Amino acid sequence: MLNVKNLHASIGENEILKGISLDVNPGEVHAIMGPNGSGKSTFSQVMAGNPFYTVNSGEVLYQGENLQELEPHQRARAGLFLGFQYPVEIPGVTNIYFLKNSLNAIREANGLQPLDAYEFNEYLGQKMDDVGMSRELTRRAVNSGFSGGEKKRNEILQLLVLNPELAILDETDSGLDIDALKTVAGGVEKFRRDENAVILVTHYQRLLDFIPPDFVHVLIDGKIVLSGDSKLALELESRGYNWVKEEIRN
Amino acid sequence: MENQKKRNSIEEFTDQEYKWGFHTDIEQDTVPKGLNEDIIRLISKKKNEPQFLLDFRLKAYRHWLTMEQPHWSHLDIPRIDFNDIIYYAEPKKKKKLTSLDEIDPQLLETYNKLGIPLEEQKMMSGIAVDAVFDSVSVATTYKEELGKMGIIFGSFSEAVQNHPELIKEYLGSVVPWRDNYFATLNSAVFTDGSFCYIPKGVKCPIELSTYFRINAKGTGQFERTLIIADEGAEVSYLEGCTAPQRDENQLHAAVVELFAHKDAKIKYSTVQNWYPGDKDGKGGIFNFVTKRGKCDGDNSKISWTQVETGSAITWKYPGCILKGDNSIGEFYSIAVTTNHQQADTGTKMIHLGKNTSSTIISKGVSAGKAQNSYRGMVRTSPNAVNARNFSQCDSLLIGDQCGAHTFPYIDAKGSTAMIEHEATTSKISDTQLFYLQQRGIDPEDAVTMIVNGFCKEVLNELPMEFAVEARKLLGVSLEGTVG
Amino acid sequence: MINLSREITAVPLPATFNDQLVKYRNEGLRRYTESGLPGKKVEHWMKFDISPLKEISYDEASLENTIPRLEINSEFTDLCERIDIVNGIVRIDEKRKNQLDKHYKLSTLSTRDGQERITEVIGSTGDDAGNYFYNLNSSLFSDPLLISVNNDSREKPPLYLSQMLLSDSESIISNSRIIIEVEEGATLELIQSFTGKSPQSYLNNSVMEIVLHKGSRLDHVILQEDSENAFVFNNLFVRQMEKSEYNSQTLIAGASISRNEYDISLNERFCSCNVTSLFLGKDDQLHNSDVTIHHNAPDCTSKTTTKAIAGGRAQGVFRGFAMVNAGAQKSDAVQQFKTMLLNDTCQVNMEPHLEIWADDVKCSHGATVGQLDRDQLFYLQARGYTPSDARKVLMEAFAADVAESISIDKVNEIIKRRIYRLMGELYE
Repeated sequence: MLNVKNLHASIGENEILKGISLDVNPGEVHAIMGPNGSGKSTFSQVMAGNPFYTVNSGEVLYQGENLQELEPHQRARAGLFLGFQYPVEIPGVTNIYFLKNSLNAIREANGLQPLDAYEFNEYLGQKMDDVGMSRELTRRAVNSGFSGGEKKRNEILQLLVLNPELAILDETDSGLDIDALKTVAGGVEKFRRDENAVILVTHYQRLLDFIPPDFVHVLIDGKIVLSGDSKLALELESRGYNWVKEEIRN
Repeated sequence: MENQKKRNSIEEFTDQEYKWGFHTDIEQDTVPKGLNEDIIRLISKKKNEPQFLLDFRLKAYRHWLTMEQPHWSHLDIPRIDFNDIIYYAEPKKKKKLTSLDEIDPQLLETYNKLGIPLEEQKMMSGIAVDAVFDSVSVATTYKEELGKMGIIFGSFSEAVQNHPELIKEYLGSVVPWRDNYFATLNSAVFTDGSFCYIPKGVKCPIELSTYFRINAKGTGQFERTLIIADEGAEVSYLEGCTAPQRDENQLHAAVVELFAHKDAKIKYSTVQNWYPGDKDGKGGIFNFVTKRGKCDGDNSKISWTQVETGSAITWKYPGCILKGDNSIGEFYSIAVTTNHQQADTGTKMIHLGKNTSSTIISKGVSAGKAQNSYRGMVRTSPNAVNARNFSQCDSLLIGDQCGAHTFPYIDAKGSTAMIEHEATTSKISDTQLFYLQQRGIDPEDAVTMIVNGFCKEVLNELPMEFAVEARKLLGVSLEGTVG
Repeated sequence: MINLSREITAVPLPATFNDQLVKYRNEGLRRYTESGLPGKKVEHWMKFDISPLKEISYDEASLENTIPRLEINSEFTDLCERIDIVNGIVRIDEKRKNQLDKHYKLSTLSTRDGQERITEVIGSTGDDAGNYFYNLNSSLFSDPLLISVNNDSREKPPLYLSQMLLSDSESIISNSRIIIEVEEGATLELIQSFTGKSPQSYLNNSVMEIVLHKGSRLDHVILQEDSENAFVFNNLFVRQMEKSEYNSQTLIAGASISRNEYDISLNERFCSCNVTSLFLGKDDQLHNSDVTIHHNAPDCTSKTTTKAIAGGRAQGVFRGFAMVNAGAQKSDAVQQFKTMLLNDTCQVNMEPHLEIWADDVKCSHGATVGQLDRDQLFYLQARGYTPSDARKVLMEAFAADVAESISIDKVNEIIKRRIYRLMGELYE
């Protein structure tokens, strides 16, 4: 589904991604882990097409197509979803209005009929129950006045509503207490199918207890230095990233 | 025989006037360009006005002659030659088109986008309306229903004929004939407009709109509107429409007076899409409307709500005189300008009575090379014990070539007055745009969504149908501003 | 005799002026002849009515017919080095001259190279921005002063500049021109005061031109406690280069008619300016503060805080202009106006204006009349204060807060005490 070959990307003059290669197939869960500043968020944002970042070289194929040629909204309509690390507030725009438009835009781009208000409400209601969100939040402005945990939950709600093919979740677990974490994990599990894939970008092992990854990649200084299976995550947990840095040096 | 004699003497009289250069054919109903007392007398006569109204006009005209046309150093307005205008023309004297094919396709596209039904499109373009959509009968039905409740709603000219005592009592009571240059001119030469009277205790069940007034589309440059809500009455009035107002007349000098008695409420909403001017922004409309509401009685309330797009320089801003104790004045406005447009809008709130309060919420959105200015005044007199004002003026800039300016004036007297004014200027954040795009919403729709969110507080104050039209209008106005 | 309702003709030039200064003064006269002083029909000057200034014929101030200097503000004499300008003439105490010269480079008509140095910089900040009262000053100033401060990393004492007008009988007019140059990386702490005494009204029309070079800083405290028949016009023009800082606090409590004009240009990146002022108005005082900030470069920050408490029949007219010009991205401009009216006979007019031509900016302004925090009022009453005592306490805090931003050692305490004293006088 996703083929990343030797991707280099920078912010202004600083090169952050220094040659990332990664392949993700349907049905798989990949975890990208690494210390702060390693480029994890940059990777997520570049996949989604944030114009703030410049891609210097490398190739990204999504469903066999060149992803670079697509604008952010086109990537979304092609089935790529980014759960933001810091979801932004948009005053005056209600959650329900925003999500309905988003879903229908994606549906229409894929030849599906848009849902009308009644249908959408039903659909949304189910998904809100799945993440344990109160209905009252639909009327609130997007992420406005939401706590950190509520914002993350809102991202997962959107994941379930929009039902993408590839979900990249950027530090969706940071700042959550154990119950919120369970809810988020539950949401991701509900999302998972053989046809879709998930990339979990995370600093900690915690989330991976609930969502066991098929592949774990360690990102240090803009490069994937080590890949393995879920056991690698446990090693990291006990030994820390410095251990990896040592391993590579030798 | 008597009638024949009378008619002859009238002809004799008017024959004399012909000597002064008038058109010979009375049936034609045209009058040469220019302005003088005789023309005013002629206008008044053609409209069959009572003496007091002619006196009013003449008083205003004579005073106007002593006034100086105001000019603004920073605006590019050529001096207006008032002798180059025809002050009286037969109503509905607009070019009659016979089919939609004759209309500018861009205009049609806008109509379609705004969801305006076909028949209404024809009506608005001045095409002869066929029997299928009988606007006259629709209006008659309304008038009957309203009439049963004692509500008077119709054209100003009709009201002069049928209710002269009301006109005499209220005309000029909110905007005196010597108030300002353009109001004075209007008082001399006004042609027609709306008149509405709501009797004591009656809450008007429907929103009154200019659509339903006969001659709605034919009104000229010097409109005069008077709305009176008697004790305990309530009314909501809608003006304007979302179709672009293309007009040969650049200058509009209208006067709108709202008078609210004790416990009465008047809401006046305007949704206007001004002619944007050519691609360089020239030729926009100069809209010198003096709009004022007087909260005359205690506990009365007047709200102004407006959504304006396109190019218009408005002078003399909708305002409220809060005379009655506990009276409330409100002003909610959205002004959107793109390309090279200019908008200059604002309000005036004058606090005179005790415990009065006013709320001003103004949202300006500029894109392209447009300029958007808010100009507002809040004044409290020392007798205005416990006067309260809250103003919020926010500007949103799209792109780095446009400008947003805020010029509030606060004149406070009175130790118990509490005034709070805030203004912010910002741009649409890239983060918000990217977030929405990542959720599949294309860039232009994302901008519209954010702008609607930005304007939400004002949109919520609009009557329902207007709010829907206004939202669409915002979307249409912002097309092409992204990228 | 000088009469401001007529043209100024044939005022003799100081004999000591060199050719360039003569040229500059003549040019100033030409500008004033063109502009004059605004009449009541000009918009702003309807509210801020200066006609009493025009009804008087003034003698040009000199050191004749004067009275002994007022002994005031002595707290500063111990803390600071001192320069006096009395009736427009620069006076430096011989005893303190050496100390002064150690830390500051002073140029006057009588110092070596003084005139050359002055003519190099005079008008460089005010000429394109000034009008009316600046022009008046340009046509009449007679004893200019240039203070240069460089970064020699020596601990410098703050500088106290006392501007005083004294007359034993006639109405006098004085036009001081002071130029301040703070060189790269240098810091200047300056306290400026306006005082005077005369049986008749007098006009002190002072212009200060300030140039802040790269990385420099000026902490500026201005005290105007002039006599009750005085007309005091303080015109300040500041030009800031990269990474410079300008912090000023102004206290206005005296004079019959007074005006402060600040025109500050942030011309290079990463500049900041913070302008705070407090007007305590009583009797029939009329005061106007105009603060204009030009954001001409990206990444600059400006903050304007104007506070006023008016009593008696006083009137305060406050205007703020934040102009964020095209290209001045990432500008941060904030204006705050907070006023209180003590009775029904005084008034305030506020005009916070924003003109924004760049989009990636953070600009806001706020203006309030009569706002005391309700929670704070209640808290004090819950601790036994009467409502009116609670109001008094909060208002004093409101006013004294202005002194908080003074960073000159010990001076913020002095100013705070002064504000408390003045607040007491307001209530009488």
